[in-house]
Amino acid sequence: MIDSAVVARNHVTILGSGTQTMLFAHGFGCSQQMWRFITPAFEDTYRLVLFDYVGSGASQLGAYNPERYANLNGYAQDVLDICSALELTDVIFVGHSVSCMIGLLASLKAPERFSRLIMIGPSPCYINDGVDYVGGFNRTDIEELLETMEKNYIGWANFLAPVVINDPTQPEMTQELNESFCSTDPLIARQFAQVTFLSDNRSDLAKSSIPVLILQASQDLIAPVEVGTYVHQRLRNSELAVLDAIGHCPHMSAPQETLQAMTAYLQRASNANTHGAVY
Amino acid sequence: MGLSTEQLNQLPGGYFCFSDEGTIVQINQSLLEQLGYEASDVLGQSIERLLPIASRIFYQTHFYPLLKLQGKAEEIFLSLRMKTGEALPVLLNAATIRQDDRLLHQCVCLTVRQRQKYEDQILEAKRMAEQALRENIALINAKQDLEHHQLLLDQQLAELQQKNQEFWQFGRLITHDLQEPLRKITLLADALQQEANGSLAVDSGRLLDRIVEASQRMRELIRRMRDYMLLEVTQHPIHLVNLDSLAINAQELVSQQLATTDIQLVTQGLPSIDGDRGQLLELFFQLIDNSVRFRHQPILGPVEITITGQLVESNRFRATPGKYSYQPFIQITYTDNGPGLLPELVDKVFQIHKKPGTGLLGFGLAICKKIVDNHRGTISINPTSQPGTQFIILFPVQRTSVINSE
Repeated sequence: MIDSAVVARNHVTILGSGTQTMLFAHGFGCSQQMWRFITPAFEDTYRLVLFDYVGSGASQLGAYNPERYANLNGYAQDVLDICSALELTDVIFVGHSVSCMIGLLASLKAPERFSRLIMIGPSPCYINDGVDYVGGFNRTDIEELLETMEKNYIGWANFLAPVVINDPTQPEMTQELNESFCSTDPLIARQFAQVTFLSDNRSDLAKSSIPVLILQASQDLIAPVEVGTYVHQRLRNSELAVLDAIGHCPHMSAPQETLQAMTAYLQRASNANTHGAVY
Repeated sequence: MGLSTEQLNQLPGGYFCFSDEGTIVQINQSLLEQLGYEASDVLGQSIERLLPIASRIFYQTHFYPLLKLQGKAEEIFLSLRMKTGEALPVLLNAATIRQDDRLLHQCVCLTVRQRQKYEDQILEAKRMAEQALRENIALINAKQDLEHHQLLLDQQLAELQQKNQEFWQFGRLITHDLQEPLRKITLLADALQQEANGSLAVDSGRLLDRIVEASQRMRELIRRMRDYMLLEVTQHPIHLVNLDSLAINAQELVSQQLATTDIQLVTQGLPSIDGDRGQLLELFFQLIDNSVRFRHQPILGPVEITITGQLVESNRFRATPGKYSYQPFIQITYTDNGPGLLPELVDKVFQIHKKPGTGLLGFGLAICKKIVDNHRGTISINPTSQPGTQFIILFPVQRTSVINSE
C-alpha cells in the first residue's frame, strides 16, 4: 500500500526492473534531474527511486514548513517518509553533496531500511571551525553566496520555469524537460543554502557503522579531498574512491567514471555478501 | 562572414570560453582589460580562478548543473574576480557547443555596476516587503488565536452563567426555604415553653432554651448569607462617592450599633471614586466593625484606625500569567491597632470561614472582598504589618462599566 500523498509531495519517480532499491537524493541547488546521466546504467538491475526534496524541483511547495526544514533532520524525514510510503528496505542510498549527510542522518534513525550509502562529494561541515577543521569556507563566503543567489532570482523566469530543450547538438539531453530544475521559491532556496552550509554533522560520523562508499572528485572546491578523507577516517565502515573527475558534480561532468566506481563497489559488495565476508 | 579575432577582442563586452573540465580556453581583450589580467594569466587555468568563493559555490551548485542539463544558461548574475581582488559584477549568458568531439561552454558577459546598485535597492525593498508580509501573517495568526480564545471565553462564560444560576437557586433554597421550617421550630418551642408554664423539669426547660437560642442563631446566619448573596446578584447604581465622608459615616454607624465611644479614626488623602455608595459604606462598616469587635482584650486604650488613599500604578491583569498592563489605581491602606490576625487565618479570612474557638461563621471580610470585587478591585492583608492589621485595597481609577450588571 503506497502512500500517494508522500509520492506526490516529493514528486517520487520509480524506474527500473530490479528488486533491490537504489534511492537517489539530489543536492542543494538541484533536483532529481541531475541523476539522468547515471540512472540508465542501473535500470536493468535495480529498482530506482528518485525524488525532489520538499521545496526543490517539482515537489509540492505548499508542503514546505520553515520550521521543519530549518534542520537537515527535516530533510532526512523526507527520505524516511519516502521509505515508509514505499515500504523500502535493503536500500542503497545514493546522495550528492548535502544529501550525503541527510542520508547518514536517515540511516542513523532507521538503520533497518538501509544496506549501504554511496556518498558523492560529502562534507560534514562546510565552515572552518577556526581550530583544526578546515571545511573550506567562512561565514562571509556563505553570506555572499546567499546574496548571489538572491540576485539571480530577480526576474528569473527563464531559469526557473519549465523549459523545452530541442537541441540537436546535445544528443545526451532529453528532448523535453518538463519539470523545473531548481526550487522555485527564493526564500526556500535561501533557507536550504543556510541549512546546508551552516550545518555541522561531524559528530554523527562516528555513530554510523553502515557500509559507505565515498566518491571524491579530485578538484572539488565545495568538498575538497581533505574533507572526503576526514569523512572516510571517521566513518568506520567506509571506502574512499578518488576520481579523476574535476568539480563538485562528477555524476554530471564524468558520469562514466562515476558509474564505474559505483558498479565496481556494488559488485565487490555483492561478492562479499555471497561469500559471507565482511570487509 | 565570420568574426575575426580582432573583432572578438574589441567587442564591447566580455567573451570567454571554457572546457567541460573547467579550463579556460579563450578570453577576449575587453574582458581581460576589465579584469586587469594578461591572456597568459588565465588561459589554461581553471574557471574558478576568475571567481570569488561565493561565485564558485554558485557555479558548482547552480551554473554548471544548469549548463549540463539545459545546454545553456541566461541572465546569470555572477561576480568575477579582478586581478586586484576586487569583484566585477557581471550578467552572463552561456551556451554549450560541441567542437571536435569536446564540449565547450561559451559565455558572454556585461558589467552591471550601475544596475547592481539599482538591484540592491530593489532587493532591499523586496526584503522589506517580505518582512511586512511576514508581520502580516503574524497578525493573521494572532487574529485566529484571538478568535479561538474568544470562543473559549464564550464557552467558559456560558458555563459560569450556568453555575451562577445554580448557585443562586441553591442560595434561595437555603435563605428562603430553610427560614420557614426554622421559624416553625422557634414558634413551636416558644409555644411549648408557655404551655408548660414552669411545670417542666429544670433540665428540659434548659434544653428548650437552647433549642430557641440555636434557632435564633441560625436565623441570623441565614440572614447574613442572604445579604452576602444579594451583594452578588443585585444591580447597583454608580455614583461619585466621597470615601472620606463615607469612612466617617461608617465609623458613626459602628459606634451606634456597638455602643462604643472610643474609636479614633484618622483619614488622609481619601479621594472620591465611582462606585456603589451603599456597598462602599458596608465595606468600611465591616472593616471598622471588625477592628472594634476584635480589639485587644482586656481593653488597653481606644481603637485607633488610620485610612489613607494614594494613587498608584498596578497590573490590570489579575489572573493571566505573563500578561501586563499597568494602569492607575487608588490604593487605600486601612490600619488598626488591634492584635492582628492569627497567621493561620490570613489565607482564608476573605472566604466565609469558621472563627477559631467559637464555631461561628465569619462573614465580614468575605463581604468586604465581594464588594471590592464588584468594583473590579483587589483586597489583601499586609502580612508584615504586625502588630495590628493592615488591609490594602486597590480600586481601578477609570471604570466605565456599571458594576455587577447581570
